[in-house]
Amino acid sequence: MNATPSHGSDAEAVAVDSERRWALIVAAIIVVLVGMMILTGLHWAAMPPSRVETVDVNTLHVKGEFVESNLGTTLGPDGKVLVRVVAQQYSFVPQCIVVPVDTPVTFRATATDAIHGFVVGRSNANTMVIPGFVATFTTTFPALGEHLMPCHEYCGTGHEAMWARVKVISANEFLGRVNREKRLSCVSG
Amino acid sequence: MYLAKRLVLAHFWVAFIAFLGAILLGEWQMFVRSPLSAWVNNPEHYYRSVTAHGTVMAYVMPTLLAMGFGYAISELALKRPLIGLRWAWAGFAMVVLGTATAATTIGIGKASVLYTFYPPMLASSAYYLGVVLVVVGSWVWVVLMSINLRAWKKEHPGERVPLAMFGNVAGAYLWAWTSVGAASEVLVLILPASFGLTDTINAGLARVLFSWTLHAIVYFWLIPAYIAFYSIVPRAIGGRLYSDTMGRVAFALFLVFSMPIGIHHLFADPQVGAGFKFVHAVMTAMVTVPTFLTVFTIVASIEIAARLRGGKGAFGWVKALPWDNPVMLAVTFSFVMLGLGGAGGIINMSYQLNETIHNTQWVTGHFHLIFGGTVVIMYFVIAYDLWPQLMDSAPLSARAMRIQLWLWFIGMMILTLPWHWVGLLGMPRRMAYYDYTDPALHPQAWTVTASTIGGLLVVASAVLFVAILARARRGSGEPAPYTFSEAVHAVAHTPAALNGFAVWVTMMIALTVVNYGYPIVQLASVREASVPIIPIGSR
Amino acid sequence: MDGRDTLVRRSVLALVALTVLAMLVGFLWLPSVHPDFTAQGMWTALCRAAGVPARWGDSAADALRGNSTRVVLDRSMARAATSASVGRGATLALNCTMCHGAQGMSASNSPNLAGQYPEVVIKQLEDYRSGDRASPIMQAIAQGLSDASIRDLAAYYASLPKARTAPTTYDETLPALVRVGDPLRNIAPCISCHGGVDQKFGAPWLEGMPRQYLVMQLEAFANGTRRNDAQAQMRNMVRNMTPEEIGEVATFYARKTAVAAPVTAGVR
Repeated sequence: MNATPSHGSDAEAVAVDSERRWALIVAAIIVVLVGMMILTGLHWAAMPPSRVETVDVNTLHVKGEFVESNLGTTLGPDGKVLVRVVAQQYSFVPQCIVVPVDTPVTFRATATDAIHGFVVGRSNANTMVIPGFVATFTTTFPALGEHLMPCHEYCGTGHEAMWARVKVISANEFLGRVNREKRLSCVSG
Repeated sequence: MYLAKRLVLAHFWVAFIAFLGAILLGEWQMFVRSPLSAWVNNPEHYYRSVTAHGTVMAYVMPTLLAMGFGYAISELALKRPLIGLRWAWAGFAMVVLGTATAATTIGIGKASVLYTFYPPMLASSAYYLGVVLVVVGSWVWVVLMSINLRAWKKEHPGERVPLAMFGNVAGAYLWAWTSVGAASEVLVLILPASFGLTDTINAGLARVLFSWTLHAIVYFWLIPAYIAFYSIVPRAIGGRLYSDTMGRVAFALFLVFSMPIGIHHLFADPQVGAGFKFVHAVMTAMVTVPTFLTVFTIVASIEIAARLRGGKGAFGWVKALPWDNPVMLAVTFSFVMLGLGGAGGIINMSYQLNETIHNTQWVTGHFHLIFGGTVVIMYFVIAYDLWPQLMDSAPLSARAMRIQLWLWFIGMMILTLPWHWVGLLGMPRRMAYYDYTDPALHPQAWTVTASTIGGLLVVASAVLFVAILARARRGSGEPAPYTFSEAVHAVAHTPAALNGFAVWVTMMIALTVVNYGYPIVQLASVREASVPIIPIGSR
Repeated sequence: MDGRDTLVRRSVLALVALTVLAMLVGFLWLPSVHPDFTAQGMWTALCRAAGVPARWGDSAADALRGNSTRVVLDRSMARAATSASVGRGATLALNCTMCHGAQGMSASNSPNLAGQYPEVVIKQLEDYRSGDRASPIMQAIAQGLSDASIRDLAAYYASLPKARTAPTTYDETLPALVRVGDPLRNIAPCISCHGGVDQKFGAPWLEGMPRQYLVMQLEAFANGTRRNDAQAQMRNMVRNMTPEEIGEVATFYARKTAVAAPVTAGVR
């Protein structure tokens, strides 16, 4: 940034040189950082909920996609696995979610009241859930097992009790169950 | 100093006493959610404490410190009495009154919405009014800094503005524009709802407006620390400032790049488009530039100090540094924490990596390391350095200061490193308790215990800090006239643009409008974004 | 002044170039590889990247209807009512005294209604009327009520002195579930919705309710025979409770009757 080189002593020339070198290093670091973002962005290693979609928060339970009977995991006619989730003070619906292993799973989530969010175990399934908007993202679970799915945004004085679970099951088991049950979850009873 | 000694002392004392209170709350929070304690009997008490801790640490303490330090710089660097002393006291009174109002409201449990507000949840209006009063009080300071600089420039036409004052006014302008985001959130969206004038609130818009403030406020906190890097550290360790111009460039870049990047807090939000998320990520990368420049310049200045003391060799000079000097110690700790925190920050800013840690304990660990570590340790330096001037006291005990700084550094490391780790394991933020008996959470329990122990050291350090300041006796010494660092080369020529703010403030506003204008207008016009309010508390 | 001009010009140009470049990448290049953005052409992709709301879901789902409750809670339900409304409600309430008591305090196993929040009474009556909540007696009674009558009844009951004299606070004696819940079974503390710490809109106050009524309702939520809680709000909580726990919280709330309640100082 020394746009105005003032030629003084040798010492100053040395200083300007070293500043220039440092500026180049800094520029290189930033180019690498942004380049990394572009690269992963182009290959969509992980995609944040990026398309904006609104929904009427008042009638979620009355009509449309987020009525209770439509929540949980479905297999679309196009073969895509879709999980619909509603967050509310202080639970997720469904409380226990079933997904197949090694398969792209799209989550669609919205909230009925406060701002919520969730993260699934150590995976990078992580989103905010904002009332009035639908958060959508796609992820893959590489291993069988069970994850905890806590609400990760302060949503009121019961926030600490807002934990759901995600069960990752084999693709075969998933197919068998989803054909029978249509809207899959692992909620007991 | 001329008129402002009592004024600066008042700001510092309120800041540090609030800081001490808030740090005790912080440690209590750490303890009750650790496996060492039973679950807090009423979870609301935990959130009440988080609200108080955040409000003091984010809004009250750094604001008062920046204001007090700013008034001191104005007199010490411009070498003229502060203009507008009465106004300054009025601003101080507003901040104190606002703090008291907010603190009382939090204390009686009517504001447990956390310092980030989170509409549609609504606290009692008194809480928001208190915060607004704090901000308005600080705006008085912004105006006074501008007036004082202007008056000095009139008396010294064509002269170079001292670097400390340049940074100080940059910080003031940055804060003025930064606070507009949250101020409009509170005034336009939250207060009408909390007064009962409306039953709905635009939660998506509120989050975007808050993000405007939420990231740049960090640079407002940080600027006093950077002023200390440039204008206190080289002098205090017996060296020279490597480059005065570099400091100006850094402050100018902070002005331009700190605002239009806040949407990186909303990478995981559904109400902002992917395009804007990417643009904000790129700008976030740019805001690392002033920090890189600063690290370079300050390390070079430290090397100068070492060579002046006879240090030799490519790396051998490190041994010649005045390691028994508390400022030397503090700047070293600060840079170590900056390095670690900065590396973590790069993960947060990256559009994709953020997905793994968003809203986990990682984030809490990150900003405690950067703010509580890097920045606050320089606040200590500022207080220690100014104290003999303000009190006309004998020098403070170097040994006590060294112990205090070591405690802070070690405490912060033990506090924040496990915190980062457990965030990677997916532990969510802001929960009053965790059931560690669950096999999935059991392996995370030790990290919270470790952090609690680190927090204890941090508390001890904070107590020692206040004790060191309290023990200084007024009039016990005659400190030498205060000076700021001198540049190693006499500055031959400072570009006019780097002697004023017009260009940088214009760029700051323009870039904010470009990066925030559309998302704000867009969200304000979405009907479904307005959702029912949730007033908190019993009816 | 040359220095100034060069520096300013370069800075502005650099900033403009950076912004334009970032926007080109963020709004055009990155979306271009993703079918979700590009499906309907460049302009749509650009709008989506900018955050213009668009439908992404399955439009067939629009036809779906919920089967839990039709009531949309609204804050206007809780606004102070006129005395005329309360008066009309009092007359209507003469029909209700047999079960709910002359002053809204039940002597049988029906819930107390005195001082109940108006939106709670409105919602439950509307649910009985539509059949979303089952009870032979209440469904029959609600059939005959107009919207206005329901509001009047709610206004009347809300105007009666609250049965509870001892609001629930966080004293040590509360059962754990009432106080802190059980996070990993997703049971939130009762007091974070039903008063004491926080009062969720639409959630009733419970102190002094007949124990048997509370147990019946909790069991009905647990086994799904009562499902007029939107998005399973209560069913999610109760599903994971054991019969003993249901008994314990019901006993706790039932004991807080007007007569027996110890008067403890509330925190707020």
